Amino acid sequence: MAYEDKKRRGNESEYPSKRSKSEMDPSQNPYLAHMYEEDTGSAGRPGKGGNTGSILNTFRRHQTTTEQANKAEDGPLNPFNGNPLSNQYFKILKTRRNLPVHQQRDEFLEMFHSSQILVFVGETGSGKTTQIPQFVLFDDLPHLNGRKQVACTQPRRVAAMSVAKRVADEMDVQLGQEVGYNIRFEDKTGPNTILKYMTDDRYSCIILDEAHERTLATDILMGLLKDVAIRRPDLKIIIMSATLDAQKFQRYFNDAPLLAVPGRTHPVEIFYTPEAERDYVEAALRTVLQIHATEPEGDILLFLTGEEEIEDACRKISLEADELLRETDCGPLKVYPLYGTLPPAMQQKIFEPAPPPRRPGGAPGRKVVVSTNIAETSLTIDGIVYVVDPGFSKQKVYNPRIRIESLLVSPISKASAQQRAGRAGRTRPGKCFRLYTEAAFKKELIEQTYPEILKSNLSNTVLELKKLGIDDLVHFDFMDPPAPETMMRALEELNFLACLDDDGNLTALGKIASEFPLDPALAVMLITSPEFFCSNEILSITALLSVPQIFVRPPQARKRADEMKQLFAHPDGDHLTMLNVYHAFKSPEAQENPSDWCYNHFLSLRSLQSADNVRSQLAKIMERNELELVSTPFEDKNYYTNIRRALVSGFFMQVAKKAANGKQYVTVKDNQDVLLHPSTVLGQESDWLIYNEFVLTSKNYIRTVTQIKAEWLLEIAPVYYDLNTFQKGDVKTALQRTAEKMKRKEQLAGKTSRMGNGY
Amino acid sequence: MGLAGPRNRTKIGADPRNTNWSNNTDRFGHRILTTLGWQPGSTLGDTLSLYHQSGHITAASAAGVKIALKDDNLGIGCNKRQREDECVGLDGLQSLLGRLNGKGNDELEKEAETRDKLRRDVIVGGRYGMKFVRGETYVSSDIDTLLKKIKLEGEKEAEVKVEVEVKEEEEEVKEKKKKKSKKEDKVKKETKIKKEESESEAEIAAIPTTPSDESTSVSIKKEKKEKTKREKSSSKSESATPVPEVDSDSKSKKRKRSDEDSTEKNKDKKDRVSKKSKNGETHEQRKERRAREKKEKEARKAEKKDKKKKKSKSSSSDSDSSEDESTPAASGTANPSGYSALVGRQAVRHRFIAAKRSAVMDAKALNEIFMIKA
Repeated sequence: MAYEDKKRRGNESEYPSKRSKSEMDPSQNPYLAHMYEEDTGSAGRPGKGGNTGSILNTFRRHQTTTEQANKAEDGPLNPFNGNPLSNQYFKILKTRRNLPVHQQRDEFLEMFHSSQILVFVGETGSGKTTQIPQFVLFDDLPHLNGRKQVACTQPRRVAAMSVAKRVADEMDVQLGQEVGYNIRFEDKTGPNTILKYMTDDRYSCIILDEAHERTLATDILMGLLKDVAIRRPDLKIIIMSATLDAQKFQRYFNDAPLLAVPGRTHPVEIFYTPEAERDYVEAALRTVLQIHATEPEGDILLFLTGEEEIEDACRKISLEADELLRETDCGPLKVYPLYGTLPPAMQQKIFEPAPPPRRPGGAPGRKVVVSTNIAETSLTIDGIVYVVDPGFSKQKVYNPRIRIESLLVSPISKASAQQRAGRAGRTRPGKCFRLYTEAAFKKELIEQTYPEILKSNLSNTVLELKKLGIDDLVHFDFMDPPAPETMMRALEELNFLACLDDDGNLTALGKIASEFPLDPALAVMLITSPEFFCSNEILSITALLSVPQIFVRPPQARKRADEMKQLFAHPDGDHLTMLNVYHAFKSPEAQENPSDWCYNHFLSLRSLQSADNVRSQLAKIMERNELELVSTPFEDKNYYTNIRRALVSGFFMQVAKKAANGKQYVTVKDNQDVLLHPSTVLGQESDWLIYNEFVLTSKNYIRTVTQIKAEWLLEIAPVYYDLNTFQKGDVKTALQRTAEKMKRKEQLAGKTSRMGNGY
Repeated sequence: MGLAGPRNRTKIGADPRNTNWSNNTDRFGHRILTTLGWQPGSTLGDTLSLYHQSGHITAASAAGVKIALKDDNLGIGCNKRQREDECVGLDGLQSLLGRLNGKGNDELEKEAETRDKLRRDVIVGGRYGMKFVRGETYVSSDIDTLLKKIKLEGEKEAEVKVEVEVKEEEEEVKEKKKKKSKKEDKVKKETKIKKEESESEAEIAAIPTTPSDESTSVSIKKEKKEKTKREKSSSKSESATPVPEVDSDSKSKKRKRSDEDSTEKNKDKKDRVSKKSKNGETHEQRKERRAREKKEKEARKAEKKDKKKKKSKSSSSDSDSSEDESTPAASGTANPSGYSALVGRQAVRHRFIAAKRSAVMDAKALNEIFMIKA
């Protein structure tokens, strides 16, 4: 049970992996199919997936032309499954052929044939995401080549799902058959799948879409692909980007050829304020209303930073617009919020058309979408003519020294501002109102948004790379290398978690931890939880920590919400409170009418439901790794103690000790002064706390805390709590005292089973 | 709230940057990275690759991204005191000051028009009071042309790599010419400064040498921009309102300029490539080449001087001296800001003029001069 123990065991093969790769026949592995080319035959030979009568069988792989493809697309039978094509298909086909990418299909194929890596630049709306993969299908003919697949990576889950659905429609096939998707907690593909859209956390792909977003996974994937491309000359790679950063991609991929497709944007007039604004939110609201009052027909898109700000703005705009409607003959105004955590049904609402005029012939109605930077690239809303851009967005930032990863409001980049402006020209010439001066645009904004790899905690990424056999993390060909301090922190965290041994090699524990789509600390906590006889409970807590906030606290009913939260409160802290909520949610009483129950208790049904979903997915992974799901009997007095001890096994690096005076705490080892977040339910004063989050605002807060005992730290994580590594100070003295106390106790009790369960 | 405003007491922790951690080199992470060949101070990644040296990697790769915490709603470019410092009503005085500075009537009229246009350009909303100034027009075809250009350059570059030496040498010469011509431009500018001090271009040029108020420089820039725009419009048509055509026209000009910039950059890269291949040359070849280059250089210099003389008829002595000063810089490394070349009396005078000008342009300073209470 001791930490040291586990670390030692980690090196042996204590955890046999069920999915041992050597058991699999390599010729069945689609990613190794190129090595068995002779067996599966060359192009033109009917393969397993293809129907024998298809026109595609006459195609020669990587030698097709646009003409051939057009003929195949014209039907009358579906070239991929042999079914007759529907009327709907032909209707879509007509619009597809009008897309800008279609004009350059020849050019694309030519480049695709001649080069292994291709950088493709198309503005949002050029049709690249839906069309290019289909162009590739008709040329690459993956189904005739030994069950290979074309994969297209997407940075966002919503996009992967909706694009796959669209392409399935366009190809007149069922989603999940020839075309499917695979995202973090959902796999909708089948044996016939030849085109797969996926979020980019899987690593065997061809088309990288929205590469300009530069997510962590995209960056790692590019580094790997660059390497793989050398070893697998038959693998084709297309990098698709929507911005001018293309040159960087090109150069990175050893000057790969570049194909550009024009978007369909109309000119957008840009306006600046003559002087800086004192309150960008207020200025934004006034601008929106002014546009509504004075400008001709056309919808408005306003960019703000976060959920709270957006909801607030929506409310204010609606109120003002109602007043405007009463006083003048303005058209009606509809306001829609848009942000990541918004329920999908609400997200769909932004596509509703603008309201009609109040009376026939009256001033036209207008729709306003108030959005985070989701609407900047990933989502396209037609009908937007006016964009209001205050120039801010919430951006992630990570400080490896004090280990804070937080979302902070900060100025956007020039590239981002241009992207936002472009949103106004989708349907007709538009206008973009920037709420800053032209000089500020030139002087204060950086050129390009920083890629995520420079702004994130990398412990998960390093674990992933280690699993993939990348040992030289120093010379790995990053497109933008992360800061050395960030890399060091990641390595150290993994080492303390016993995922890496002292030589930096992946341990057996690390291997299992990498199977979980979780932060390594959470994964390790989950893996060790059976030793504390509470893996069921820890599994629930992990799921609850992986979803958006479950407590709802609407501004108009804060007091009531707090009272409701107190119903679930556990004096030992927030983790246990959340567990209480989950158990109550699963009770038959609540399950009778979950949405009412959640509404009455100020809980988010959506978060709880997704926690439920995440929990079952994680349970599957645990089962696969032979991790038992056990519980201490609820009557046992150690029920909660065991859970808290298990929490320590994952969170021992996120501990705060109460300072000598008053309410302040100080984080262990990093020595940062912090306060308890006001939302905590902690019932009593406590000297030692573990925390889930370090929140950076004008004050530093720790959020989601649970009280623990110092003895547990020394016992469960002796390597991290090696007193020799501590700075002189309050924390060290307290720990020393605890250590002495433990020693005395041990001597008293003799060498009995100190390590036994049930503390 | 007292006179000094609300008191905000902030306590800074003992080690807010956790230097205790960052200075400790015995850590596991530090050890692993050094054993893998990392040296403190260098970035990670394939540092020897061409890509790495092509300037696409930002400083954030070495030191991480730093973001200042924002806990207010101030817009971009706004600091709290800005509004309070503002004063209005100096427009009328501008022409008087201009005349004192020896500007001609034409110029003054032009300036007044510029100000009028600026005022007209500001769209004033009635009820909600938001004002806006028209900026550039964003056209998607800009992207297309730029991308096509990138593509062409890429192809050219590939060719250059295949074909050898001779071409590269040519390229080099071209490059140098370009540098030279750039320098020439600068020289011209400088002479202009001395010749007609009222030129707005000179105003901009003068600013970097003096520690003047930032906001003034901004306003000057804007004014200058407006001016060029306005000039255009007057030459094209007499219409008072800004026509979109005009706008796009000036835009295209700008685009061209930026394109030129990018080609230049590219050339720089080529230059680097050629330098690399030079290492492979034999000694004699090198000598020969150098001699040739020297000759060429001299020829060009002479040519340039001729041109110069033709251009600057009256103030030839002035321009000559400045040219002499700027040539040493040209033969050295390419220095984009050639103002360091100004030395001695010239520089002092230059700075004096700039300081005077910045004082005149600063509304606050003017208020003090004329003892106006805003």
